[in-house]
Order: sequence, then structure tokens, then C-alpha cells
Amino acid sequence: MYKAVMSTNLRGIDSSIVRVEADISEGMPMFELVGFLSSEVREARDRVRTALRNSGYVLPIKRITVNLSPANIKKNGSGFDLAIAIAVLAANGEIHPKALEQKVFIGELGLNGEVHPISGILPMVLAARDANMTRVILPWDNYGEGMLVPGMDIVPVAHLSDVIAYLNDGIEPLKPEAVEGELPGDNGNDFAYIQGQAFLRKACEIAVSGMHNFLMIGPPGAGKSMIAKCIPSILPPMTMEEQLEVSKIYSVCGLFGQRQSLINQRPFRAPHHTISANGLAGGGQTPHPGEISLAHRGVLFLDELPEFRRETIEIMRQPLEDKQIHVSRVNGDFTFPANFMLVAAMNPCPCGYFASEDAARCHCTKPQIDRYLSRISQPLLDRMDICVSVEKVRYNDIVNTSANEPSAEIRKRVVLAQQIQQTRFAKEPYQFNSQIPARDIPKYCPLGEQEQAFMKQQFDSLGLTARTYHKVIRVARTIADLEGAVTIGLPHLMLATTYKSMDKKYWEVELQ
Amino acid sequence: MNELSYEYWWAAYYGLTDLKKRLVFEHFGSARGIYEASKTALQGVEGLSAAQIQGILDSRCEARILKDTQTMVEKDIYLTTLGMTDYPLRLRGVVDAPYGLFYRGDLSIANGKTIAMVGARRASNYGKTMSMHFARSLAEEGAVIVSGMARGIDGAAHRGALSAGGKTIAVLGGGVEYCYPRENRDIYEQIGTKGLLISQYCPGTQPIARFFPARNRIISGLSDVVMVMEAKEKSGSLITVDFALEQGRDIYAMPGRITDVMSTGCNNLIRQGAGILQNPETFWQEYRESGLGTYIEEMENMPKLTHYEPEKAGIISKTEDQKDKKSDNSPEFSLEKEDSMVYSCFDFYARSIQDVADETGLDLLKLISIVMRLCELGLIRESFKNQYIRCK
Repeated sequence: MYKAVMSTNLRGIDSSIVRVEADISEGMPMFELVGFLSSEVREARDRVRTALRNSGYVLPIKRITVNLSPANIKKNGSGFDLAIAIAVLAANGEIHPKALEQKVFIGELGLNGEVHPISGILPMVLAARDANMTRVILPWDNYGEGMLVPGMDIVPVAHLSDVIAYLNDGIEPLKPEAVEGELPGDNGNDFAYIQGQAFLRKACEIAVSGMHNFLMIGPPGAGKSMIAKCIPSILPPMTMEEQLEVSKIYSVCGLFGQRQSLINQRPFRAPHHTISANGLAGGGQTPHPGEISLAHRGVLFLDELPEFRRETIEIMRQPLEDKQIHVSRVNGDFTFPANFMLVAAMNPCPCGYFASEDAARCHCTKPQIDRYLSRISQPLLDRMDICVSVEKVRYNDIVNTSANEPSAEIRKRVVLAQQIQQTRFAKEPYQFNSQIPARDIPKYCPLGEQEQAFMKQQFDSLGLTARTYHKVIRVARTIADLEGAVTIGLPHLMLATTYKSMDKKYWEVELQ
Repeated sequence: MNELSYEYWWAAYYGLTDLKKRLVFEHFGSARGIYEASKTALQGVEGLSAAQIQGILDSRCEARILKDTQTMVEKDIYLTTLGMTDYPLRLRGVVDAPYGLFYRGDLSIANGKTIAMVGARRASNYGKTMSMHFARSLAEEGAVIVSGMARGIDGAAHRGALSAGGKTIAVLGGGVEYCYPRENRDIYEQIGTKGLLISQYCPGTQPIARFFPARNRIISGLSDVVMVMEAKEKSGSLITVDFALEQGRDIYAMPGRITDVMSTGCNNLIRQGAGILQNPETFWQEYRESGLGTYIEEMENMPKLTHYEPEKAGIISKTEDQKDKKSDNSPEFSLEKEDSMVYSCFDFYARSIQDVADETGLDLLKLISIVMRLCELGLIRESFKNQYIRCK
């Protein structure tokens, strides 16, 4: 007898519906699984057989064939176990076919029949909704994540027998009690604890407001990492759409946990510098998202930038422009979103004291410094919109306990600046000042006569390139937005010029 | 073989010390004389060991000497030796002066009012700025700045002299055709045409570190005065000072802050009696009073050290004198109140914007506008990212 049930397959960060067909017929007794399966799906055969027996069902001594359709898409993951078990039972006449309509089955089986959680539930339930299914039967532990898709009836099950009881007798399983979601991440980092450094604070504010990439250069102990850790506290809240995008990525990576709400905090990812190119960009035989995708709509912080392997950081060049990354592997091409703000920190030389107040402590030779700097390419430096050199913290700043502006205040200004940008770019495919394409700069960032004269002079004296010129203007636009100014003024351009990206010329002049 | 080839041979012979080479030369009277001297004649020279004589005999390879001389001429490099009239007069007075000097540029400037400027390679901004400043104003007054074209102070001194359209001499630690370090390519080219590149090493000698101390001896030997612009307590520049003292040159040192390790060597020199460099004007006053400028005349009146009448070889294309002195270099500018307050916060040591913002308490946007204006006026410049330094 033939029966079919629905399940879902994960591909990249998207999911599609898979039909699980089971047929039991006369012939040589065997249990066969077909349909372009990866090894973890093929292993489902043994899990399903044992789980069924331990739940009180014995497979008939007949030829059992299970097919996962469409057969031309590679099936991955352990989420098909439940669907296969139900399909086999239905084919054996243990479940009424009526009960299988409009339902999607997702879950991994243990040998004792328990249903274990899997990753990627959110995109799977979204796929079920798109396929006009109404009910999703999924593991108990994944209930919170499944509930996030409105309009779907989610049935959490802990054991195979719960599923059969639900299908045959209509016994609704208990639903888990609402778990208190983790509090919006107040991890104790707040700009209120950063003493002094007004110049740097301003740079952070501008960078976040316009989602400009941001580089800090300074000696060890200047507080570069501390500042970076405070950046999440001034990031503006995410829209629903953004929350869903980010949540999908985290769901696929199995980082969703027990939370019962979408991820509503902008991500802040700080991978260690030993990370591989695949870890950063995404990869694997069946590609999964890398750190740049996990930082989507948030911040990717690379501390000690030159310590990263050069080929690792160079792969960011293309995603920084395209805001997404294409990963091609043997199992197909995948596109992951990667619209992040890059924050990086580095020392000016291997020992870190070059051109600082303690420059006399620096004993790095020119070749050493050249080698150190050569780990970062100029094209990557060019992509940093804002660059600030960070000074050693002074004694007075350490003991000074006068109140600093807390993150909440800065965040208010950031939100306002982003609202201005949203209105401005309502009809454009981009959202932030940092993303204005060169062709639209005259439209959104018109300069007055005086401002143009200033930029011309800067262009000549600083040796700007077309790219750096546009970056200065974009940053000036954000500064003007923060000030609430409609047009870009001279002071805005001046500040933007002082924040302009670093180039290796600085070191050369110093070393002559 | 022609005269030049004989001179080349003895100048590029490095098997003896410079002092011995000079003694042998004075014994025979000319390079040709040495070349043609028999073994017994060489044995007649005091202080030459058998191995050294053999070395001289072995180096007499006519084909190679002719080829090397030809290469030198093709590379547009000239040679002067103790046997020629145009050998720099001051250096001739140094007892262990190198026999030959290879050069490119205008050799006659070596007999001008030469002033050596030496100092650390890893110099501070203060050291470099002041070196440029001194070199510029000294060069404007007609001084010839002698230095080693190294990184740091040396480069700044040459740049300063060139920016004033003045004369400058770079003493190199390798063949004249090698520019080392490479980042000084710009000044190397300029000195080659407007100044003088000089080296005791024959063309084709790669610059290596152990040649550099010997070069310092020529730097001080070519100069009336040696100025130490910046030196740590144990600095290579102090080797030059030792040579200079041996050669009887005047030493000047530029003072620094007592807490600054980059200036410890200079401050020590001042304590030991070196002249103090406060500004170019007082230096010139002392220079005239001490009668240093008359050194050259004295040298010319002195009886020649050699009995050999030097002869002229090779024609030098002299460059025209640069007479376009910058007339107005005085810091005549008026600033608004806030501008001058900000300007007064800057120093010859780099200071960051953050520092100045803390000190003045000005609003960031306002401060940046002032800083940019000062930059535009050329009163300060950005020395490193977000760090500024005074220019005037």
C-alpha cells in the first residue's frame, strides 16, 4: 500500500517542502530509502525501525520502499525521521490517511521513540506556510521557534506515541509553558563607563547611525576592544522584517536556543583571529552561514585585524560591496545575506607603540612594520569609511568619575538619524547613507559652493581617490543627519575628512 | 692604461686601510707609480707585510681595471682622488682620508660652508621637524648640508636643504648608483642633479650596514661643524661625534626635553661642552665669531701634503646656482582668538585631536574646523592619523 506525508528540507537558509512516500508491497523483505539522500538521512532507516519497534509497532516482513521527492534535490539533516516513520505506519494501515492532510512532520527520532529537536525550524515552518499547510508537527523543544510564524498551528511532540495518539485519536499534546525569553542583552557594556574619548565616541555614533564601516588604530590598552563591545548598546532596534531575516540565519545554525521570540537584538559577532576563511564566509560540504552572515543586520567586530590570515579577511571585500555572499560547493550554490557593519581594531605596528605617545618604546623596524601592514590590503582599508586613532587612556580620565553620556542617550540620536535616512531612501533599494551609490550622491548629498571649494582643495592636498572622496561625502551626510541639518555644511565635511580612511602613507611619512 | 684607470685601481683597492693606502701613495707619488712599482720597490715601503704586497700585486689585472673604469664612466659616476686637485680640501686634511671618492653631482660644493647634520634614524617628529627647519635656514644662508641620506634625521636634513633650493651632500655607504634606503628615492634623484652624492666605495658595491660607520668619518671629515640633531644615549650618531673630535671639528647638539630618551645623547653632549643649537641665527653668530669660515683659506695656504701635483680628470657638468631664495619665511600671520588658542596647544611633538579637545574644551565640530584651517595655513600638519604637529 502506498501513502505519502509532507516534510521539509533545508537548503542554505531557505527551506522547501519534501514529499515522503512509503510503499509496502510483497517481495524480498527489506527497508529501502531513496531520493538523493545524504548519509544522515540514509541512517534514518535504522533509527526509524528501532524507534517504531520500541513504540510497539513491528514492521511487516515485506518490501518497504521510502522515497523523498523531489528526487533531484539533495536531502540533508535528521529532520526527516518523523515523517518517514509516519509514512511507513500509514502505508501499513496504522494511521488513517485523512489524518495526514495539511500536516507537515519535522523531527529526529531517538531509538526509544523520543522526538529530538533539530535546527532550522523557523525557515521550515515558513516553507510549510508558503505551501498552504496549516499544521506542523515538530519536536517539543522547537515549539518556541515554530510559534514565531503567525497563523500556523504548531503541535509539539515529545514521543512518537504522542504523534500517533494525536493523529488517530485527536489527543492534543500538552504545550510547553511559555519560557521567559532572555532579557534584551544588557551585557553591562555601556558608553557611560567610557571615560573621556569624545572624539572616538562621536566616531562610534556616526558609524552606527549610517552603518559605516569603522576602524580603530591605537596602542595596546587604549580601550579599542572595550569601545567595540559598547557598540551593541547604541544599535537601533530592528524592524520585524529584519528580525525574521536574522532569526532564520540563527535557526539554521542551531543558535536559536529555547527563546520564544524572534531575535530582536542586532547581532554582535566577534570571531577570534584564528578563524578560517570558510568560518568567516560560510562553507562546508553543504554550506552553512559563516560569521559575516551571523552578523547580518548587526556588527562584525574583528579585533587585531592584521593577526587574521590575509586570505581570510580579503574574502570580505566582495560581501562588503554586495551585502551578500555566494558560496559554491559540490552540493550546490548558496546565497547567504551579509549586510553587516564592519568594526575592526588594530595596532599601528607589531609592538603597538608606533607613533603613539610612547613612540620611544617602539623598536619595530621598517621591514617588520611593512610585513605587519601588508597583511591588510589597501582595498580593504579603502572600504573602511571611518578611521580613528585611539589614544592611551590618561590618568585623569581613569580617576575622573564625572558622568558620561550613557548609551541610551546616544541611541536616541542614532534612531533619529536612521529615521531621517529611512524617509530619504523610502524609494531606494538601500537604507543607509553608507550604501548610497556614487551615481546618487549628487542627488542626496548636494554640496554648496563653499563646500565644493573645500572638497576640491582636500581632494588635491590629501590625494583622495574617487572612492575615498565619496566615502567622505557619505560620512558627512550622516554627520549632518545627526545634527539635524538638511544640507551638508562645511563643519560636517571637515569632521568627515578627519575621520577619513587610513592609508599607508601615514607610516611612510613617519618612517622617512 | 690611462691615468684614470690607474687612479680607479688604487681608489677601488680595499686590501689596505685608508691610512696605509695614503702612505703608499705618498711614497710613490702617484697611482701609476704604485701600479708600476716592482715587488722590491713595494718592499721598500715601511709597514707593508708580505701578504699585503702580494695582495697589491694580485690586484693588477689590466683587463678588469679597464672594464671597471669603463663601467664607472658609463654609469655617469666620477672619481676624485688624493692625486687630483679637486679632492675636497677639508677631507684632504684628515690624516686617514680615503684615497678615492666616487661621486655624482657638483664636487666643488664640498669646499663650501659645509655643515654636517646627523642623528637617529628612528627620530621623533620634533627631531625631524627641527632638522628640516635648521637645514632650510642654514642652506638659505649658503651653507652646504652634509648628511648620510639615512632615514630619520638625515633624510629630513637633506629635504630641508633641498626645499630652500640650497646645496647638500649625501655621503653614501655603498656604490653611488645605489639608493638606500629606497624610500629616499626622491631626495636621491634631486641630490644627484642639484647637490653631490659621494662615496668611498666603488660602483657596484652594495650598501651594507658595516660600511656605514666608515661613512660617518667622511661626513665629519667633509664638514666644519657637526650638528647632532637627535641621539639616544647609545646612538650610532655618537660615532660620528668621535670621528669629528679626532678630526678637530666643532660639535653642536640640539637640546631636547630631559625626559625624552630620544634626546639623551644630545643633552649629554651639551653637558660635555658641545655647542647648543637654539636657533639658526645664534648659530651663525657663533660660527662667524669662532672663525670657522676661514678654515678653507687656511687649508689653501697650507703647504701641500703631497709632493705630487694633482691632475684633472673628467669634466663635471656643473649645475646652475639656485638663487631663487624664498624671501619671506617669517611666521607673519594673525589668527583669531580661538584659532590662536588651539594653535598654542600644538607642539613640535605630535598631539592628538582628543588631547587638544580635552585641553581647550571646545566643541568637536568647532575644534575640527579650526584644526583644518590651521592645516590649510600650513601652521600645523597631520603627522599620523588624527595627530597634529606644529610646522612653525
